Amino acid sequence: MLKHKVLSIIGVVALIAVMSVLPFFVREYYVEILIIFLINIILAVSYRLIATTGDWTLCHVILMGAGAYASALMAKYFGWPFWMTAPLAGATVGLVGLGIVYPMLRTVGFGFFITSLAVGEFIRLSWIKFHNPFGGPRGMINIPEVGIIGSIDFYEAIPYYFMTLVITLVCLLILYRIDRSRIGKAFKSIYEDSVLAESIGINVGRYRSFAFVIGSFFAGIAGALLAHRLGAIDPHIFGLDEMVYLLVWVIVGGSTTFAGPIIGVAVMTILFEWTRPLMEWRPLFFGVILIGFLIFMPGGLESLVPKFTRLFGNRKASQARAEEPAGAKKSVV
Amino acid sequence: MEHDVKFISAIGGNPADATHPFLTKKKVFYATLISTDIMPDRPYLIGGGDVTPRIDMLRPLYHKINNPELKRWAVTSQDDTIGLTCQAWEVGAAMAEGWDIVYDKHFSGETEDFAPVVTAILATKPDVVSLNLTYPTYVTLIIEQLYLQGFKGIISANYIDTESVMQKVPIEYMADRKCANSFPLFDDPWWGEPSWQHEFIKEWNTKYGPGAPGDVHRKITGIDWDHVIMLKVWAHGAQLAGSFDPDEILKALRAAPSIPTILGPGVMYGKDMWGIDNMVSPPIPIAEVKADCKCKRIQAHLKFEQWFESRKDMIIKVVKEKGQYFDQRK
Amino acid sequence: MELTTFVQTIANSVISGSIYATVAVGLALAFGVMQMANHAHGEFFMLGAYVVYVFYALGGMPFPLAVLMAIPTIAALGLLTERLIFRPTRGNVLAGFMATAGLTWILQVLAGRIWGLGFMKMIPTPYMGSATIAGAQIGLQRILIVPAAVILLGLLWFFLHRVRLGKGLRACAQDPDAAALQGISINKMTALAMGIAGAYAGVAGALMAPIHAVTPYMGRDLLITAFIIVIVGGMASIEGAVLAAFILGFIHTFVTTIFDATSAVMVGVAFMAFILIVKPTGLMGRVKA
Repeated sequence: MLKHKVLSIIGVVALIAVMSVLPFFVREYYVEILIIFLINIILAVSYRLIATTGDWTLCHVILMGAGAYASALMAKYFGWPFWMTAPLAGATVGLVGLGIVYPMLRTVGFGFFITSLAVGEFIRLSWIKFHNPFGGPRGMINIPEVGIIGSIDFYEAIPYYFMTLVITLVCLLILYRIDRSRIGKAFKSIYEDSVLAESIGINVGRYRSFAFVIGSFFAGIAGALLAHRLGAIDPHIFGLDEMVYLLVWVIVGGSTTFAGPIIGVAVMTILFEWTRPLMEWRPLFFGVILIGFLIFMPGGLESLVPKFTRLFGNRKASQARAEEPAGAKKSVV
Repeated sequence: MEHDVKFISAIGGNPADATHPFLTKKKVFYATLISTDIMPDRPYLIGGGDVTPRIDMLRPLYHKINNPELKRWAVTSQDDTIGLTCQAWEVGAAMAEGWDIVYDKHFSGETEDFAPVVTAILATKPDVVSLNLTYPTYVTLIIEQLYLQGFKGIISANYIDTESVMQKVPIEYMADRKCANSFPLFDDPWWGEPSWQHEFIKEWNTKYGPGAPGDVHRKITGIDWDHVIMLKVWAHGAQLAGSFDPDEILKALRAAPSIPTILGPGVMYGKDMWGIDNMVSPPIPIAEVKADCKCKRIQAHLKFEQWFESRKDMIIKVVKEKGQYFDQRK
Repeated sequence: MELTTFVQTIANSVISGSIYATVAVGLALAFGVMQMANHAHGEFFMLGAYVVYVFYALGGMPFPLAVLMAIPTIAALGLLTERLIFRPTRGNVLAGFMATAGLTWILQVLAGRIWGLGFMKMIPTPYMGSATIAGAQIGLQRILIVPAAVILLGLLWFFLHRVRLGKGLRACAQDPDAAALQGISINKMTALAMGIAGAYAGVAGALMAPIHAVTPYMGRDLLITAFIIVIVGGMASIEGAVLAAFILGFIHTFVTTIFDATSAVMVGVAFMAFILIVKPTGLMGRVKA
């Protein structure tokens, strides 16, 4: 068990090291892609947190949009700097989440799914309808960028990338701690057997809300990062298509482990860029991938990891993993 | 970035907003179809190949001249960048020409069923229904509803694709309603024979017409040439300047007394409209649908600048009231 | 609102509701029988319109015949979807829904590649002209949707309540285990349900082809509306879906006429949220959403 932990930590440190030097070896275009990649990781991991209770939503991308709009509005009209607008955007979206979760809690499973879609659409349409303050169908432009702090110009890709990297790591750390804590375990117990959970004193409704609000908070942070990088937001980039892409990442990567969604984002981002020359066919490929995974590999890519380590890894490590309670391996989908 | 691009020809709108800081920094020309993208802080963004919104300002003039007894003008378009700005300019121009604006709203881009929209428009009993720069798909559906709900006045728009509308509406109805619009056909006898325009159409048909190597299975539409016009202007500018440097090209174009375009000789204009002379302004043709050829035929070819100079104060006042002037978009 | 405008809007609403109903019943039926949530339902609608494009606009077949061609074509697509996507994911509603989301992309791209993108496909209107009914002028092409919908819905009702196979479907929807015990093959029922769902969505699309803008993406907005209708009606209730379809048709049409289409969708969503808070089982459902 200890060896497993040490290996994991070494792995994570190595990954961070790679991510830290990568931008210096690739063209500027790819640094921008990496920034978006990190933002998507925050999005995917926060989505998965909500999903650990068994609640799969269709409004997460829109919540990111809400964060983008919130931070944009605060920066433009109050003139607040990024280090204020970002967490405030997160808080705002957390509150929005709290507000909308009430009717949604009346539903479960598939009904919950569709309700979240409808509520999300409502929010998105209000951005399109109300030119004041959201800018209507044209969205918002001239969002103050992070600007120059000290001697670093955050308009440039590489400084923004590192800032995003730090923020992403902090978010992941927090999400990881939550996932591992009693609260995280409560979430998973709701998915396993909500009646049982209720009987041992877990207020299912309250915990579902809690998961939703936390997830929303981080979606808001991701949105703030996006808004300040692009400098302009268009309501149409937070539509259902983008939401289904998020689902693809989480399904392809897997949602049982913390790292699953991260793997999913990584793999799909690479595929996304690779298939750019075949842009018209791209959604079709992704549709095939989605169907393929759901039918043939519902556990996602993360479910391959134990098989992998069993082949090449240390016998003790895989034995330790095999001793983990079987329930934890159940795919959330 | 990857390909060291010098000139981008695009539709514009929201993507133009998002990309301009980057493109300005990298000094890449961005030719947009939407003149309303032109702004003083976007020195390399040029437009004007698409005649919006100049045509939308000239149509009220055109109809007033032909039908001085009519008074009631209704206008609508989708509620996006193009619709909001171009409709503002049209309303200003119509008011300057003495029209009463009885309907001035936008329909949502999400609209699928136009029956309610047209019902609302017809409730105001207009003499002219103008569709401003409504996208062709919507135009067809709206004109269909106007036909079905019995509208008997004049229909006018930025672009009407005769072929598409004919599928839903008898050609006689279209001709009776005039269906005035720009985007002329280039084999129109108006251009004369021989002419650059006729040559262009022949060339296009050789490459993309029936039986050709790149056959696209349809006739040339009114908008196939939209991107070409800006490319030609840029090429001409590069020739005049003798270099690819964007600042040199702009200087050369602005100094030229006239720039050849497919619609006729144009000038760089637009300071009063957009804050910077980055709009190529050729004369604007206005066509009406005719039943005999089942197509549109040019009826007039109007020069914009002088007319605009005489009316601009009133028009700009209206545009500013609507919050659509170039410096009002925050 | 003036009287003529009001009458016109009522007429528009009835037609709107008829289309919604035809599309939604298939969705409700499929969902009722083994919880098949078909994200690609909008694309079934779209392909039904393309059937008419191919056979009528391109092929010159008479319009009514082209519409009928949509029935077997899209029913077959429904059967395929059931066999290849819903059967392997049976028991997991979300998985079925997400997999059909993948199918949506596939169908949209294929439609775009095969018949090209660009603005709408040109489909000549078979019955031009309009009729005046109680002061409202309605296009003939639109009027015929109402009797078509009535016939289709009537046929479905008859099938579900008077025909053995149809009664089997209802039994399967109510209690699949009991139905299986009685010897009803679940596989046969799911296939049948998806076949009908496909056929109905396809016919709706076919009827709308001359009216709607025909593009590969024409089914997108309809999907959200269709699911809202099914939820408001009561997840698996066919009668509920029909009722909700007309209510939503009226809401959408009136709000669009008075305000605009964006507000109409928002009001529709608010209505759904209201129903969920007040009666979570939907208008006529028995299962909690």
